[in-house]
Amino acid sequence: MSYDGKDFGTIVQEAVADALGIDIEEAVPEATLLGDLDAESIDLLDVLFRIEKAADVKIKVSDIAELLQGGIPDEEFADENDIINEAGLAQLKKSLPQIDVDELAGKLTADEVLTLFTVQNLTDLVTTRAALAAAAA
Amino acid sequence: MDLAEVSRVEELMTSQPELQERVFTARELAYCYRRKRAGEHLAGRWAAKEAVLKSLGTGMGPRMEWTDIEVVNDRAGRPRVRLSGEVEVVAQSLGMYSLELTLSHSGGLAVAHAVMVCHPTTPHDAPDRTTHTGEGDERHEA
Repeated sequence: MSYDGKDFGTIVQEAVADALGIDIEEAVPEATLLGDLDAESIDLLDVLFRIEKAADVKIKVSDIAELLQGGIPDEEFADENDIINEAGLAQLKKSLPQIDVDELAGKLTADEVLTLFTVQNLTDLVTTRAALAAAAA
Repeated sequence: MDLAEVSRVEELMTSQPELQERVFTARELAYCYRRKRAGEHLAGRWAAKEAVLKSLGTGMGPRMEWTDIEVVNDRAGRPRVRLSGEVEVVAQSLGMYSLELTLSHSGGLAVAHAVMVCHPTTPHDAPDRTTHTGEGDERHEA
């Protein structure tokens, strides 16, 4: 899917590279934004705004949280120690298909979830949002 | 606690001015731009918003807006936090009855420290983030 002749993957990679001041070759689809690319939340804000300007798709940081949690309430997503439970991991697998659920079981804490979010996951979210907007138009 | 690089916040808000109104309330912007070094004050407020989100234990959760957390100053100049929207809903679900904030700037960095004081028996307390004061209250610090 594309916008003005540019595919969303390229738009997202350019936004990530420009916001973080890195080469576009480093913003590979499998790179995690907050992990591999050392982005901070202010960088994520910058990335999302660049995407909005380049692709006319508005995504907020809270939309990413919504995508990851899939509408599951906090208390049903993680246990009392903030470890993501089985239902939470199953939901995460839907939005982050690259994760190894068995590897993360019993270890992944709620505040680590966003660190799993990759450039490709963001591209997928942008693509989905653009398709929804196009269908609604 | 949260640290923000003043130059990064200043650079982003200058290069993408439309972002200012998504992150800061009109009152916060008016306060910051009345000051000589607006960038330091904007960075302090950004750090404060992040510190408050950390104290909630959620980060930027679903349906939350940056403007749900507003830093205001009382007559003595002390920073206070006003919550609204989804952030307020989550804070109330944790049993919050006060939120203390300190802000500081030094060496190109803005530092914010938020302490959320909660009622002692609440349904969603997270033991690993909670410290008991010994007076029946619980504190979520960030």
